[in-house]
Amino acid sequence: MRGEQAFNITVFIVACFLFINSWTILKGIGQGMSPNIWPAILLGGIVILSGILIVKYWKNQHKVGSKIFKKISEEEINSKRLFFSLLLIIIYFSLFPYLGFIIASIFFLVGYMYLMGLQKKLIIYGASIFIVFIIVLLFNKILLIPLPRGFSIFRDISLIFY
Amino acid sequence: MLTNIISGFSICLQPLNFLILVTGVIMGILVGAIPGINDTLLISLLAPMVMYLPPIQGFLGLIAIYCAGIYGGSITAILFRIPGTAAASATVFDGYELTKKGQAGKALGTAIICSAIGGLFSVVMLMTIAPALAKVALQFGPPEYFSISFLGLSVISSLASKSPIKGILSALLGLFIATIGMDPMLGVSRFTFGSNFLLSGIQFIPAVIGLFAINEIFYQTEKFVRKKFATKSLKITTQLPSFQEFKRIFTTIIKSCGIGTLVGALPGAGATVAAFLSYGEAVRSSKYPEKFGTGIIEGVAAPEAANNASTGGAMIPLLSLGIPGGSTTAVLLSMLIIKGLRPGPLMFLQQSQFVYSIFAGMFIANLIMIPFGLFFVQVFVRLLRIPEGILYPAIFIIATVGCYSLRSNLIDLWVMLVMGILGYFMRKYEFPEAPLILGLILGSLLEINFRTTLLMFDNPLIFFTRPISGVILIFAILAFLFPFVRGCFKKK
Repeated sequence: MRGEQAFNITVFIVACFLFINSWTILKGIGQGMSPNIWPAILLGGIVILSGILIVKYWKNQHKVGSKIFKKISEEEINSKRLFFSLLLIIIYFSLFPYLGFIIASIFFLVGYMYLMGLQKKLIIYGASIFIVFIIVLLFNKILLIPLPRGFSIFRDISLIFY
Repeated sequence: MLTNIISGFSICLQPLNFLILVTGVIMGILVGAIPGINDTLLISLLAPMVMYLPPIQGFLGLIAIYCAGIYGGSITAILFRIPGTAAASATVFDGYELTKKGQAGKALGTAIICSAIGGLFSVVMLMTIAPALAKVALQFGPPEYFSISFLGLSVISSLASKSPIKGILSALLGLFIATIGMDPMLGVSRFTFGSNFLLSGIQFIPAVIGLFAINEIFYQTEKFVRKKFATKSLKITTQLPSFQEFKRIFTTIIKSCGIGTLVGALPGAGATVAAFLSYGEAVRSSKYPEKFGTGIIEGVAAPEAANNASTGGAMIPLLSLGIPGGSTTAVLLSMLIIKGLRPGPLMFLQQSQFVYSIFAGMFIANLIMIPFGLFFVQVFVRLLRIPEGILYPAIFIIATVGCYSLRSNLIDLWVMLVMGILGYFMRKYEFPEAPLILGLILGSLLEINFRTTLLMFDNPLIFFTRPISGVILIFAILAFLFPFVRGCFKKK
């Protein structure tokens, strides 16, 4: 699996970068272990182990050969769906403080439900509004957890509810 | 002592006091089940109201919330792979796998029974040997805390028996993530890259929710859904373990109760450490360690018995010495002081009615947790009937709000997402997640106590020369090596 090797290499590179970065941490004054030693030890271990995994994988690839038989599974993997869901989440988190919880969450839920394959609009919009209503009731009204209200007109809309 | 115990029970069984206990148990279970919201938050919110009640009644309510809240986290951990409380993280490994096998009822039944047994066991310990256990807890210094943490980490070898390298790498990742933020001893920033938000470090709850729940949501999203609605016709009823099953897991439960009570009595250790330590011990001592993580009731029994046993354990240093074991007991301590009660050795003599009422209240709360736990499980289980296309986005929103509620800080949401992505790739390429969680929990304890020990004693061998620390550390090293040795013998 090339993906696994890419993951191992990514971990290796990030660990190397952080290991080098750990030596720029301020040493501090006084006795005792310097603040950078403990993370440096951990990162050194990560670099070594990920290096071993890279070498192991490369050796196994040469042994088994390049033919990899794909298992035919009843469930097909839909990576595009995953990519779009990740994109949706990033947009949701980015707009969360600006649109407020209610507006941002309703848009997110509608988008994600379409992504998950639901098609009936009544169920999608109805479920989204219901879920947001329950969460505002439970978290904001009962447990008194503050939720973001957003800015400008979105704040005015949020203030109607909380 | 017997007179005091009877007096305590008679006070708790008065109608108003009993009603307060019942209300506390219900609130504790419900709040504990919500990810991000825990018993500490609820107790803090209710503290102003408790001020107006007499000390015994106010404290009974808080104690009931504390006992039931620890159990409540296991419901969502088992059904949805989201631990409601940090202490339920270890329950996810086998609890959710049992749900996937269609045995959610058995997992939930096992959780409630083992939680109740753990809580009752620790209360009995609390009643009988609290001062003695407190003396033992006082013997634990930084070397002993380091050894206990290392013992917790030694379970990696059992959890990652298929690929030890991946398991150790996962644990090192968790230990490293725990170092992000401000250095605990000298206050310098580490790996924050100029961000003020990361100075307080990576919070545990968003990391765990990301690693478990968000990871699962990504996994479910990626699967192709053939039908428009992935409907389920599940009939899940809570099943208590059969007599044979109970006999099989009895030793695990008793050991976990002991571990939970002792670890709970150590200030700073807490229910989460207790749950993972007992899960690790259950794996280590099992005849079939490879079955853990695939969905067996032992994997639910061990952490659930331990995390509820730690509630009684945490009360030992609180009442005997006035030392809070964690955040929840710190709030309870503040309530005691506000009410004019002074915890300490004399409290057992001067305030015996109050103390034994608390013991009796904890006992009763753990008992009444069973019927209410079984009832609420039926409520939560109905949520599984919701189509996946609606359920998983809803779970995501709840996880988001749960993380946001911790500090009203958006960085926690990004942490949750990043950990979710990391968890997704780890799962895909068969890196075990449990060691990462272990590393995250134990990282701070390990580092602080290691550095403090070196500062105090300036001799690395002190870990072995101090008797308690030495014994625990040698046991930990042997426990770490044992699965590899056993594996070598099996191959031959």
